[in-house]
Amino acid sequence: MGRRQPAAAKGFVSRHIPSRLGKVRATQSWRRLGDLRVPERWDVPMSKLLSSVEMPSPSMGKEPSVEDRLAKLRSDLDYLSAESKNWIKTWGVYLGILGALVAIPKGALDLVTQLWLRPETSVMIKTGKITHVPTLASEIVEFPIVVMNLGNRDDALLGRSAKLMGPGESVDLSEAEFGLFENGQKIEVPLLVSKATLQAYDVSVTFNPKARQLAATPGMHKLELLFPGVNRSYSSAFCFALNKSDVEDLFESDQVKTKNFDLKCAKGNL
Amino acid sequence: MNCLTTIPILAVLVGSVAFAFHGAHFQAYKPPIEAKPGYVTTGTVVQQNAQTLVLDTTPCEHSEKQIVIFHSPFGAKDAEPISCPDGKTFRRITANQG
Repeated sequence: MGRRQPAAAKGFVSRHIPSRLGKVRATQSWRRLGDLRVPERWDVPMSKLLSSVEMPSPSMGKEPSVEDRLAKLRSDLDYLSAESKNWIKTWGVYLGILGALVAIPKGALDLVTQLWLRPETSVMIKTGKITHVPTLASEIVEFPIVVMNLGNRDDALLGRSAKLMGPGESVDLSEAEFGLFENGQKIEVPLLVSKATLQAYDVSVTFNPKARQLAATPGMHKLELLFPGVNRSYSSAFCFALNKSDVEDLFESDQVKTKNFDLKCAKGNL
Repeated sequence: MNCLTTIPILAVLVGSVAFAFHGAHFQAYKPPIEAKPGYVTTGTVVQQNAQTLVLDTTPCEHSEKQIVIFHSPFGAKDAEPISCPDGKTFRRITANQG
């Protein structure tokens, strides 16, 4: 590297110093990325580079030839090409790191999901309605129920039971008094709850005389539904408050009456 | 068998029979249908006045009854009576929600 260069080479160097410096800059960006590769001329002292620079001579004031311009253009293109490749490689590394940050936790989560099969069933009630028809033996309480299994294993509801709680008392409701319907057809238990599904059913509750007496008592009421599952039981509750005028309207009127409720059970409700 | 043993056995037997009787004769209701405009159905009259008409569309069904509620304006006309398997015959009407 340190040996004296011929005159032709000197001319070449003098014409290409800007490009060479450009290459040096490009290499610095490589070094930032941790690549230990060093360009072939990186270790040449600046004094030697300057000593190889041709001094201006009268003949150098002439216009450069076409070949020289082409050579300059080619070297500039080489420089730009190298810069472009560096940019792609830099962002490629960044994207790779980002991809790994996403893929590794996801892979771990998938592995856990594959190894640990479990149902994740829940039963929800949001709104309810009471219908009173004077000639019927009981009021009809109806509400939609949503059964959802967000787990990775099928589940089943093996039975159903309900309990009506009123001021100071509670009454159990049998399966006959508490029906589950889908499009008007009664659904019998056991009921399969497939994994990753959500299904809505209509529930209709008919009161026996004792339950009707409790429901017609002014105060807060809570209807609790219990569905025994394969491994555990699922429950959901629906609360509604009736004052004296509600009771007169819904249980003693000689007209058809309906009342909607949209009340979740809060802590302290019964 | 002494009296202390007989009484609990009789109580269990009577309770079981009463529970079975209640289960067999308990009349539950499906979620009522509120008739929408254009809805037409036939059934026995549960209740009728100027504002509402309530029909039982399952008169022969004893365990699960379906009722339909029509609100004024609605139309009603006589329909063929229905004879149930137990021998009872019910007069029916056809109603349509206006």
